[in-house]
Amino acid sequence: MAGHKIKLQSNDGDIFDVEVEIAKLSITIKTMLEDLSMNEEEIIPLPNINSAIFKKVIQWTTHHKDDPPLPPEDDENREKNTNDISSWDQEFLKVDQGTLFELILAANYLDIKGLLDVTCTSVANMIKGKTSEEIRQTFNIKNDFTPQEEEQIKKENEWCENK
Amino acid sequence: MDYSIISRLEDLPVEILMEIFVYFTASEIYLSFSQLNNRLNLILKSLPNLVLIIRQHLDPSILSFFYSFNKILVKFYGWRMMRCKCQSHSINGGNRLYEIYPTLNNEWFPRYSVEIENIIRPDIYSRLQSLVLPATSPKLTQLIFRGEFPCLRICHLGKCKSIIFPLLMTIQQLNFRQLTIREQNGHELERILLVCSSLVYLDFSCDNIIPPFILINRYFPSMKYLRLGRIKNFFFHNGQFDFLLSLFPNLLQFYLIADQCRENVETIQFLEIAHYLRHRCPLLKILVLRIYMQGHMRSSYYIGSFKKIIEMHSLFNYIEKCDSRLMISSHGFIQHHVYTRRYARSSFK
Repeated sequence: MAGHKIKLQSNDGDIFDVEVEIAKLSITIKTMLEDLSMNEEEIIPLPNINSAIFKKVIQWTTHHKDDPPLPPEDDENREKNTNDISSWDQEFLKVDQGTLFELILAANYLDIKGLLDVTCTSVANMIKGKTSEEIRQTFNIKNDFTPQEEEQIKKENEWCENK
Repeated sequence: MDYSIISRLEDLPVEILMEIFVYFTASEIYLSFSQLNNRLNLILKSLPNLVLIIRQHLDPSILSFFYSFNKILVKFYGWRMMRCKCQSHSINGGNRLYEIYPTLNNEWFPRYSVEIENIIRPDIYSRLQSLVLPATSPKLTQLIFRGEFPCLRICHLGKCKSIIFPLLMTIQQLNFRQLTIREQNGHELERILLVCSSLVYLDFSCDNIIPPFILINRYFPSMKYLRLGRIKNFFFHNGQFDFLLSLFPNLLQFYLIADQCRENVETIQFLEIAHYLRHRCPLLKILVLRIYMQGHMRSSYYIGSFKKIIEMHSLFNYIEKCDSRLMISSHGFIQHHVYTRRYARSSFK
């Protein structure tokens, strides 16, 4: 029913009134509502998501509520394309890395495939075409290999670096 | 409860890293992630569900790094850019057209790769779920149809030698959902359907006739996407076409490539074909009929007006003729296809 709302609570206690139609873009919430027959007055807790991230999730789902359904999961053979981000999503994803990772985790927990795809695409784009050292710098990854281990890995990688 | 905030790539759970790895080929994953630090290196070595995507070249050293492929997809680029498309895309208002292999069989001559088949060792038989190859050796084909791969659901073998089913013994049921098997004997279609009765997608091609089925009153309601080619001596009006359609009442996509019988040329009535399609496959959304005409049917006179044919069925949207070949399609002409006459429904022009 359009305009009908439910209450969702983030892990830091904030309660959000969200239209059912938008909330149901999350398969996790949809399942809770349908399988557990929760009524509209009950507050649905979301223990893995803080309010700042949940606000972003609501912003994304509101914008994408009329998108056509994504292809079914049995399409095993597709190779995902890193160019598939709309300009709205690109703007939406101009966030710090911590927020981006939290969004990925929230999308995964809430089972919102479109959001998971677009956030993972964004991370993949940050990696594509970069050397290991550049990836380390981008994501602040500490190199904890010993010189011997590093030498061994470089030797293993020669075959694909030379192509 | 601890709600710690993740701020580093390497702290993401493995299931999320897997979602990110989907955007990379195996060699890119190896190159980009293995030398970042110990944690990512160890995660890569222990990945439980890895899709091996191979383009043209496979270096065996990658196999010494990864141990656990359960999906193997070979993206093959060959002559004149013919390639495994391995994709489906939306056409006709959201209906999905599956295209795993190049559209035209006769321009594609892949050979199976011993190097790739060597990856498929007995220790992964039990976990392999998906296999897409440009061509498959007789040995691997027989192993697959002997039921040695219990988890295999998506099985696109491309070109392979005819399967040899044992004549009398009971054949093990295979749980394939998708199957492509080309260059077969037409008489094995019935056996393949019986052995793989849960198929949703079948791409079967042979270079001879498909004889009448022995077992009747069998239906395959799960089948949604069917491609049959290039069947010799095919008849549209002796019950063969109607019977074929009756086996698959829930088809969404049907692609038929057939040669008319040279010795006994029937006059094709497109109105009747349209009736069979409407009656037997009411859910059909995507259609291609490619018919190689013989005798008098090669003449445009006997085919009749393209404009009238298009009015006979809602999926007869494009019609094209070149020499003996007539093609009727729901969703467009084949790019770069030679033709002498073509016509498209006015709303699709």
